[in-house]
Amino acid sequence: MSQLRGSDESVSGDAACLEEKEKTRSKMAQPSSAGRYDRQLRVWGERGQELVERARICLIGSSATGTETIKNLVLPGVGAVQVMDTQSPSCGLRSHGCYGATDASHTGATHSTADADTTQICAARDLGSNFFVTEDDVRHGRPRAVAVAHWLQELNDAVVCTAEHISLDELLEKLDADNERGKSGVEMWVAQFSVLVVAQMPFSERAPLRRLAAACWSARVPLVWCRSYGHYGMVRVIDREILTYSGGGGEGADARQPLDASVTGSASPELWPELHAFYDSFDFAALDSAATRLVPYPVILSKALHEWREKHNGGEDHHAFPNLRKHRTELQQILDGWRKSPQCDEENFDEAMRKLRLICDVRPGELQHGLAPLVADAEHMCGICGEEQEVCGGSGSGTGRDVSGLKNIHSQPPEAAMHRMRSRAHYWLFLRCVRAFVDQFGDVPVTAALPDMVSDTESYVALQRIFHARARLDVERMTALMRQQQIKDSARCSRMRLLPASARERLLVEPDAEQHVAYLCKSLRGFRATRTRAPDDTRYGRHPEDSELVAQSNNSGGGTGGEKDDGVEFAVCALLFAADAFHELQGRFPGQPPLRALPVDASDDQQVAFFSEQLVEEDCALFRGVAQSVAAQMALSPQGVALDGNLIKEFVRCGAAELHTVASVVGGVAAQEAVKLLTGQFQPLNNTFIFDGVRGASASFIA
Amino acid sequence: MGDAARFADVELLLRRAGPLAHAAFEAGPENGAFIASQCRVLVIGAGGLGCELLKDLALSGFARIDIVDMDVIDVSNLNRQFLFRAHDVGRSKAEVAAAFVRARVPRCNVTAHNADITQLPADFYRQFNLVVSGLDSIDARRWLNAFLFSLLERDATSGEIDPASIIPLVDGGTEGFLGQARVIIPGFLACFECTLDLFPPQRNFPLCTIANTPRLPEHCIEYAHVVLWPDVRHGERFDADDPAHVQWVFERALARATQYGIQNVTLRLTQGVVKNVIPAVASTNAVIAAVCAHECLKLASYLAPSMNNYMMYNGEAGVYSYTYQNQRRPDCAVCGVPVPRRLGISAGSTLNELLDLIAADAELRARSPSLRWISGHALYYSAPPALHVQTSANAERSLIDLFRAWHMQNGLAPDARDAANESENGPVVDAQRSPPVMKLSVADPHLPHVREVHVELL
Repeated sequence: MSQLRGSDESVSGDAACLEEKEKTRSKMAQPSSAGRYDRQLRVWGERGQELVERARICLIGSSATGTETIKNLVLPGVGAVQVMDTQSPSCGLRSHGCYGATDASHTGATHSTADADTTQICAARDLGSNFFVTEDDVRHGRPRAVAVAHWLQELNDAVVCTAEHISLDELLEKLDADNERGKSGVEMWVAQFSVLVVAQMPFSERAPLRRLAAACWSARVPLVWCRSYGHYGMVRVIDREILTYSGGGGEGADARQPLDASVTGSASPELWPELHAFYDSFDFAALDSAATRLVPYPVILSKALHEWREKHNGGEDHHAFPNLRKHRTELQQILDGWRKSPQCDEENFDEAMRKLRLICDVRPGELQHGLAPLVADAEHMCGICGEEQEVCGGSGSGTGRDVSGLKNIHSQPPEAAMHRMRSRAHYWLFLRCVRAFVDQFGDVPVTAALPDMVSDTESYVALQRIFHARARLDVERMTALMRQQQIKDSARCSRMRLLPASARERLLVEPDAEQHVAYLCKSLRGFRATRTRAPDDTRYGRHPEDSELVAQSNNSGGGTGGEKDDGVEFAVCALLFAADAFHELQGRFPGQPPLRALPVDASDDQQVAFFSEQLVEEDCALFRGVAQSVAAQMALSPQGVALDGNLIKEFVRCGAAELHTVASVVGGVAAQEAVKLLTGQFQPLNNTFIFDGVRGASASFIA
Repeated sequence: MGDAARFADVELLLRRAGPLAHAAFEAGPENGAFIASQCRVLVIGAGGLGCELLKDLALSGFARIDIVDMDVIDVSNLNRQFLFRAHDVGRSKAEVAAAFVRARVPRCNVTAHNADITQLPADFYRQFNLVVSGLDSIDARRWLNAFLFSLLERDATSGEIDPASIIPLVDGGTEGFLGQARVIIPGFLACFECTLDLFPPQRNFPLCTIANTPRLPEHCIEYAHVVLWPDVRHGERFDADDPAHVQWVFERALARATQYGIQNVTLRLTQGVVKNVIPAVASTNAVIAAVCAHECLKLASYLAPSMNNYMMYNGEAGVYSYTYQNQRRPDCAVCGVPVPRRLGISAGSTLNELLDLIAADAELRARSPSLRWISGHALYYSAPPALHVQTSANAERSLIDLFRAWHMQNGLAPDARDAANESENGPVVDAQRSPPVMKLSVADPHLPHVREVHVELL
């Protein structure tokens, strides 16, 4: 089955074509997809898969690095991918063979030929690095984006793979012209995608990528920028705010979550009478030792707290809180006193001891797990459009700032933009209502999942039922709060008023949105907002969590113990930027042969000239100067970036070679990041990953 | 098409001197020629990592590749094993993968072996310059590691390893967003067995919970799997790859769950529990396989020194990886001088309980062991069937009983250290007395060698 698009009819107009294909795709949705996706459903769950399948990805740059990234997204079944190249083809499909007869209608299409650079036509050099270019493609001189889209399509029928024949320069020019005429702009164009992947493009000051990155930033489209350079690789994630929900959606993910304070009975009984009635049904005095050993630990903790309060102030204060060290000791004594046979193992009491923090450190209603700052942020957010209230309404200054591209997004949002707006809005709306929920009901919403614990079946199942019922009730309460808040917000959100009525409805939390709200409640402890550096931000720094993770891995991993030294990776990062600066000056990368491709029948002399070491010597001197001035601007570590002479030479000798192995490492990491961005699961990269193939090592940090 | 033109990217590195290259690196066209026409690489496993490895090696210039896998393609492979299509389901993984790469990269000569790695002769392995493995089974990786070590030849007088007999092993593994890659030079760097504790033994649910106080859906599934299956379908081997068997367990588990009011027993969970399904995604396999293939390229060309020697990769929280040097274990069961493994268990435990302990022990992990006294007398055989029948009665006996019986049988007075026997009137103070020790030799298909195990009866 061929999904080629040979036409260059329009840039934003292709949405209709894609949507049509997506419709036919859903009709032939495969019954076996649960079997096909089984192994990944165990990683990101059904909901994660649904979000993956909804995604539309654009790749710009179809050499090995970008192609490998997209391959790793076609396999798990994203909705659609569109492949573009950075430069214009010197010729198109017209004079060349196509893959299938169905493409005959497109073969008449002509293509803009901005320059004669041949890199975009499949060449012998692609065969040595890109698995999705064939000898036949080279013989026929097919545009590389077309070949790549065709061979990627083979991997998964459920994905719509297309190729776009327009260079990025031309695209930007055309979109800017459109924008001036009040039509769509670059922002509108990027807004149709869920994630944009750009590969092997320089990021120097005048590079078109800068323009594209700025558009993604304002339209809130995540950008994943990847490159492979000799032994070295880089992935950078650029997005104003990445909202994630949980550490992962696979089976068993819930069981890792801790219980809330209310569950251990530290909240007052009137807030949860059913639970306290259950706890009261146990009487240690009446239980024999076998039965005592099977009492679930929340019961034990609840009773211990009750007894402690009795002892402490005669039970006067129902809210006395055992927050001191000596209180903890007192509680331990109470627990020990209840053990029937201190020498025999009563694992449930051991569990209760381990979980003492649930009643000692956690006050009911207190926001745990870094939630407090998020809930505070949520106060300023609009529950309709998910933007700050002062942007979308209130002050009235909001939309006036928007370029017309953004205005268009607000009045006719593409599907991906609509989905983005809705997810953001519900995320912040939910967090905003957490505050009201705690005020009203005494604690955060209960999670339906109960971790395993020592218990007889009957008690455990009974506890689980109480839990489920409460979780359901909390979801209903939360849904109602969210709907109330939206009614208030809808009066002042100017973006909502721009939207067509049908789109407005989609932003609202429906009365029967329980499944959706249940997911939010379940994920509460995993909420996290990651803000990456803006594309034009040139301050640099160290990943704050890196040292923490190193410490963890040293404790658990049996490693050498020393602090991980990322000095080489800092230098590699600086040199990649330096190589771009060099490219801007020289029109090629340091050590890169002036001739892009070696003729297939190259003579020995030609080969020697191509791989010339003289060029390396010459470029080294030049590059060292550029690198030093770039590195001086970067403060990746307190000591500055040490540029080793050998590393500089290694950079030059590789001549910006794109090794398949490095491209594949980068493509794997970039695809992982894309999946995180699409599913809102796991913790995204913030913001730069560097691979060093010389040592077989990597590092990530903020750059 | 000309190799220099095709592999211009790799050749840029292979033909130019590099300051960070290995000391033995000599730039020139010979490097690419060696990789293409002489260097033979064996890829073990044609699964998620194997498919990636074939592609990565073929596009690094390797042109003489063999691939071994005994599995057939399953529909659940298609989300990452990108050399396979829906119509390939049921065909040999090795054959389909090899044919695909031959068609896509015609200069690359890939030979498929639809075979069990343990059944291939030593001379087969000796042909290769490099072995790279992408296996999900710890047992298979242990076997491969021990086998490549056994191929080492030493000089009869000096005892030094003959460099020609060394076959480097590059090994990768993934689970979800996690992975690891490593380089093993047999006899020189830490081997797989040296660092077996990097892989925690599989967690099992305690039998008493499964039988008496089930709470989780997994408990019900394990009950159907471990208790009901041998009970109801005695004699029949449970096959986790047989859908009918999994369905049977699922239905029984569901019935038990309903009886106890436990929710969420599903077919997918059942498969996960009985088959120990490892979550797998395309992206992680791509990362780990490519790191491994890059090491192969470096080993074959001296383009850079090898990774030293282990990389752990975690893509769950940001992207975190750590490359460090694993140390050899002087007492490694494969590449060191093994010392007896010491275990402790209460004297009243049954032999069955000892077998569980041996299966769960991080170093042994022998799941179907045969035990002999160190003197050579049989204690328990898991196979062959005739010996198993003869010794199976011992399984339910207590260890202290077995210990005493053995001493009696051999005409020995009960050991002076037999604490249980002498605790009332023995002249030695308890605290100074060491507990009795059963000295056993343990053989198991999962173990590279017969291991001596000392079991202290506490």
